[in-house]
Amino acid sequence: MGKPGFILSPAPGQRKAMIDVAQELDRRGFPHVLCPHEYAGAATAVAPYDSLSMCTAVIQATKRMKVASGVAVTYSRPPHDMAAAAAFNHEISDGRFSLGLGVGYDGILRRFGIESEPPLPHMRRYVAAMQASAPDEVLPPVILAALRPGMMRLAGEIADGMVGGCWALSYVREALAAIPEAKRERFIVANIVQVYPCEDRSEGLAFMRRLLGAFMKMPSYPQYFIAAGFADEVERAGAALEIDDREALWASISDRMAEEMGIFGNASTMRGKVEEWQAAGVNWLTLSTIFADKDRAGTILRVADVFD
Amino acid sequence: MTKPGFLFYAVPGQRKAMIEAAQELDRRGFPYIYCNHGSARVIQEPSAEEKAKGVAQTYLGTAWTDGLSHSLAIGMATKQITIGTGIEVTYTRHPHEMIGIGNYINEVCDGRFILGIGPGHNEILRQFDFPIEKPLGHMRRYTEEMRTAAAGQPTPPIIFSVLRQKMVGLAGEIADGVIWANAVLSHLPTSLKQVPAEKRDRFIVANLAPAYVSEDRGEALAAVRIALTNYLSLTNYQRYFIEAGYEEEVERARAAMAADDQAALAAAVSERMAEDIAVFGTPAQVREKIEAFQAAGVNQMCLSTLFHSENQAKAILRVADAFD
Repeated sequence: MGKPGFILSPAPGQRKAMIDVAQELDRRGFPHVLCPHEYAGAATAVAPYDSLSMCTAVIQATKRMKVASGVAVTYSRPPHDMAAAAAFNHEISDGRFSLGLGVGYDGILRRFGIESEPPLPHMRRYVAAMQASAPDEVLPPVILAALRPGMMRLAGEIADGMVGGCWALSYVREALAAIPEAKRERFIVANIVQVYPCEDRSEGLAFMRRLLGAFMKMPSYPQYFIAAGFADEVERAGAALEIDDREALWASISDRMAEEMGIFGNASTMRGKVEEWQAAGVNWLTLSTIFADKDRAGTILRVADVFD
Repeated sequence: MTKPGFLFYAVPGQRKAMIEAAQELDRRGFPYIYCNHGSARVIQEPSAEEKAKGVAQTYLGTAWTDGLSHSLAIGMATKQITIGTGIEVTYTRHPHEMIGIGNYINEVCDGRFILGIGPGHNEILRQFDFPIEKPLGHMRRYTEEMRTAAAGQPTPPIIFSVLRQKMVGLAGEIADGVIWANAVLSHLPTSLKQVPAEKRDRFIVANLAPAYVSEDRGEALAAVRIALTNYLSLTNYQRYFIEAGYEEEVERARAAMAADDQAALAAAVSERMAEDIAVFGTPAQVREKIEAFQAAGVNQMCLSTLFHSENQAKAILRVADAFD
């Protein structure tokens, strides 16, 4: 089993601690970290970091591991500016950096006065503009955030990889089918999986139900869940949301859905699940410890202990 | 004389060398590094109509990187030196994101960061379809949004890129300092009168001056003239230089641009103007000029070597030798 990577997501006051975590993961041979884009908004009026900036810091603090934005939101910067920052990270990292790009979420973008375009033409135009703006630069591999087959096919066509946020295990085949034969050997297939270490399976199931229940409220996820074979769950969740019934929302998430989208249980179960994901074709399996509200850095290292 | 700082550019192919140069400056006790937002390269000539309006060049192409990324990389590689953006263009980021990243850099660099922001140059912004607002209103709104969003959080000092007195006055009202690129020495006392007296003690006054060290004064003067020519082509600089008493030079530059005469454009920069803005000559002359800027109120004097033909990292370290 290859070791998994991790999502790094520091809260203010923990920013240096998270860089220390990256250094330790690097020393211990973990292969990669992804730095997400943290939105500024109602809950966090100030963005606690920016995806590419955090990548810069992690690159400077580490020696071997791959570092990627996971993902940078296209609407947060003009394409030429994104290309420049990406080329900068690529150069100072000796090629350890990959640029993960996503179109973000309409609801959040609107908060900032941004009217988003349809995702597929927007991403095609953005990547082309980025490449055109940097004719003399060496740009890093580009990875597109992809939930549904359309974006997966676009990633196969114009990018060097794709990253899922909460793909179902059985859904990986959709991603693999979108990769052209000529690109398969070097194509990055990343997925961010929520991980919850616990001895009691029901505790892990309850966590996943709360998490996926929250995803049901996000505009792009229900459509993806349907595409991934969870239409019944989406229908039940929709009914629960209509009557604002939180318990019913959580109950709408089936055991099968929780098992397919999360990694939870004891150390042995977690290692087995990581192997399953890798065997399915995910070559950048990335664990998220989003459940750790306070000690995010410590939680990552405790999960990492499972894989030493 | 306090040692000067330096302006850094993340030139493609030299980015790691620049970080190593920063480490060396840090070891040698230089106090500041400001990182530029490397906007773009000139690849198109303007239309005749644009030229008549004083627009010399159209900008498009690869940015070298944002000043924030470069500052962060240098901050991570150094221990004592103060780092800042000199400057980051406001239009490239939402204010909540700008201050969030500023806070991030400040935290991971143990409070060594200064967030320099400015509205950029219209000639460049137009190429990227940014909706441009009037500079004073834009900077007031943008800064208020940053301050409101970050209320209660540790935040780096915020300084404004300035040229003319109104922006200095606005910075005096709502910012923690100012940063010029090419401040006119003789005009500094007038400009700095805009800063409220009660703020002056702790107010950051930074200046990025073109610097060229040489025993050959003719060579040095020719080099800084070329550096200043680039700024003379920008309308906001033309207005500043007029305010500072260089109307004749601006008129000559506009005529040279209209005639597409590069030699006349370089000649438009008078020796008096070059002396009043740039730092050049022998090491002793360079040190003396820096002292003059510091005496005029610049408390973070920084040198720019971008116009040097040699490798940037080497150029910076060679100029730094004049101060050890």
